[in-house]
Amino acid sequence: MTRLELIVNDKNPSRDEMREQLDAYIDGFVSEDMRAAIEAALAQDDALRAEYEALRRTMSLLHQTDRPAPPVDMVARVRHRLAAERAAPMPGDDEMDKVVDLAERRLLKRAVLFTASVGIAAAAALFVVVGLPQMAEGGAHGVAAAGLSLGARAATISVADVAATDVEMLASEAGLTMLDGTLVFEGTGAEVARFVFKLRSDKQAEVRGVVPDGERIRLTVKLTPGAP
Amino acid sequence: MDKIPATTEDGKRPVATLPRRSDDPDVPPVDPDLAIARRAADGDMGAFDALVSLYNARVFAVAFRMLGDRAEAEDLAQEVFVAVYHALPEFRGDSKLSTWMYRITKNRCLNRIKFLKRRHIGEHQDIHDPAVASQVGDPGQQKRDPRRLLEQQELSALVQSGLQKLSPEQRELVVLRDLEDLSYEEIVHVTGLQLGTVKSRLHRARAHLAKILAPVTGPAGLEVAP
Repeated sequence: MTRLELIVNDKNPSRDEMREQLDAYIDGFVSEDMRAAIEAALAQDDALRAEYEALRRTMSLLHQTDRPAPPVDMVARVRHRLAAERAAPMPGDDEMDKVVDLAERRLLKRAVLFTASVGIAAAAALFVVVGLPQMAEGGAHGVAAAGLSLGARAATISVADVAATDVEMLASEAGLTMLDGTLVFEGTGAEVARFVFKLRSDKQAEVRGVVPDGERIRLTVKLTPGAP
Repeated sequence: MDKIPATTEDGKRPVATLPRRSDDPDVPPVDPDLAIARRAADGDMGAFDALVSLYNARVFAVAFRMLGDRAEAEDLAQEVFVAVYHALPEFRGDSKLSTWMYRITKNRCLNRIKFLKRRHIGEHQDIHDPAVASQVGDPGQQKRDPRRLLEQQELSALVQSGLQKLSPEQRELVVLRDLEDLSYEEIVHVTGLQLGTVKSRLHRARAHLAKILAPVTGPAGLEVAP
């Protein structure tokens, strides 16, 4: 790991420069020159000393604060979540339509939210293109659950309220690298659906089991400048 | 030791890329946390449990301080550990494991804050509300001195209230530096910011917090040990 060097620039710092460094001085993260300059100034400058005291008391208060107690059963909770993720049951054919309907209703609701947010969405619009190289007829349910049109071999959806940082974070966690604002995610229908829903800040559980797991799907995610 | 059931189609976890132990005296010793992470990445569920236990307090503390809500923080901490579970095979050990964990936690927190803000959730917490103060504690703490526990709850609620008034970007720096005690160097790795940016943003955050907390930390306010 690279060692960071202190920023040393401090033979004759101005008062403003010293003010900026007061908390770093309390932290012990200033150069010798800056430390000496600040101590000399504190001895003469009442306003600066008052500022220093306020910072010192605040930082001291923070340091005295205990960590909040974490849940004691976190291991069990995480295990449970992982188990639920793995054991998501595939619904039978008669249940499939019901699940898809539910997913579609949620998607419709979100679509309204997306539309409402487009006007104020700032950074980027995200276009997700999903290609289905070997899609069987039965795969249509999966496509619906992923937010795409039934029966399409490829489709485009716009997810306008996803920030670029979210995509980058998920890409990083998935071990993918974005090149020119584009990343390619390839996996089973379930994996792709999970990825899409993660992009939409949603819960993975809502799509689990809906997308047929045997399909291989290539998902291209492209970030483009958003509408104002 | 039980093994993790497969999560991929072929029933195998991807091969871990974490560094291996070395007997060479010139090679720095492997971080013990990394060794546990490597075992977890190889499918040792006991090692993964140990990792969760090891980082539970840190991940939860950051989540709680960032989100200001115990239930949200508990949910987010679980989400972080699930993400860690899936991402461990790709973790190369280029940075400290703790830094990597903090980075994932920080990213998820900022993401969740945006999500909650869009839905106007959690914007009006009041430190005088006993429900807020009690969120800091935990039934497991009852063995402690009740007076000390009460003081800590009040202190934490005050701090939490002040933190919530900072922007998420300022808050994360105060949490990492002043509450989690990370070095500036570690904060640079967690946030991806330049050292100068960390220092100046941290200064603004602390100065802002000092103003917010002045009524209680001022000379006539709360007694704070030097």
